[in-house]
Amino acid sequence: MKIVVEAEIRPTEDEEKVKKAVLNFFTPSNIRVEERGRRKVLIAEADRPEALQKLHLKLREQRILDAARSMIMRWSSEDRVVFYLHKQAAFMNHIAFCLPEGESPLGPIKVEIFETDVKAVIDWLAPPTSRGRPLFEREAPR
Amino acid sequence: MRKLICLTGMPGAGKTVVAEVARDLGLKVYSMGDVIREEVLRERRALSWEDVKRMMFEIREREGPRAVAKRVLKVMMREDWDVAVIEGVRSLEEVEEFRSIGEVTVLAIHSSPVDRYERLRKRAREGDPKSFEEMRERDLKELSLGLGNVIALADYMIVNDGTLESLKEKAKEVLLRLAKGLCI
Repeated sequence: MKIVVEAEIRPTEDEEKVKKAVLNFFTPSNIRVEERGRRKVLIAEADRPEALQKLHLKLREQRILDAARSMIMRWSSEDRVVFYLHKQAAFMNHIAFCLPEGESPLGPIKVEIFETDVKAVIDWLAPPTSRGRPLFEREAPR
Repeated sequence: MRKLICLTGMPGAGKTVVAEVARDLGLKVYSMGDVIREEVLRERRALSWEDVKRMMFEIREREGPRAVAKRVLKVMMREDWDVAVIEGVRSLEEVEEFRSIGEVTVLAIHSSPVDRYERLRKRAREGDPKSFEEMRERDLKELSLGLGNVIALADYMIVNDGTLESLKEKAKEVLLRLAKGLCI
């Protein structure tokens, strides 16, 4: 499994703040800033699911498993799980899913989890619920 | 009587945004697309765009035009809600199916093809059209399920021809009114 979290750092933004937003839900093994033409992008990577433990916990604390599952399934594909988080919300230590475009004012945080067993990742992060309770809790795929 | 708001519109019209607004308002949101994606996950362990599109037609062909709606209903019946929003209703048969459990209002989101194309290109989800012609082709396929009929017979229509913010505002206003039952 490989987890890549990307967040653009806009010219008016404080690099440290964007970093804090990411670290609020993600524990990467390395983090760096890349220049892509005129854009600056913060890239954080990890190769173990434990790196997303904070996110895993927050989805449960905030009781947003349903919305999370829906928004995670929506952008995921054949070989990866993809979702977008609101940057300012993440900075405030709050998880809010958003659309890739337009919703997070200075660009969203994009989370990509490269793993062929997409179902296992989704079931681990955000299991289906019934009456607000998760139907099961699974281990993360290795 | 429980209220159901069926949300419909062509791809890229802005259904997802309106559904998110509904969620923020505390309304229960169910998505027809999620049911299809869950079905794909049951079969495969991944969500390729081809599989999702195929499944969308396959379920309806195999089990009839009401099949997806029936599955959503099954989940809805297990849960507590007074007002629910159902995202992605695609035919009048589906609307009929939802009428069996409550008062249904159809809310359509409309956007010009040019705007929708712009948006689909920006969001660039896997499988989103790469050319205007490709989108046209997809549109016709979606319409073949009867989507046009639902839009034509909608109770309310939000025209999404401005900014994302203005869509959200319009959506909030309409949803609040519908949820309170001040219309119809």
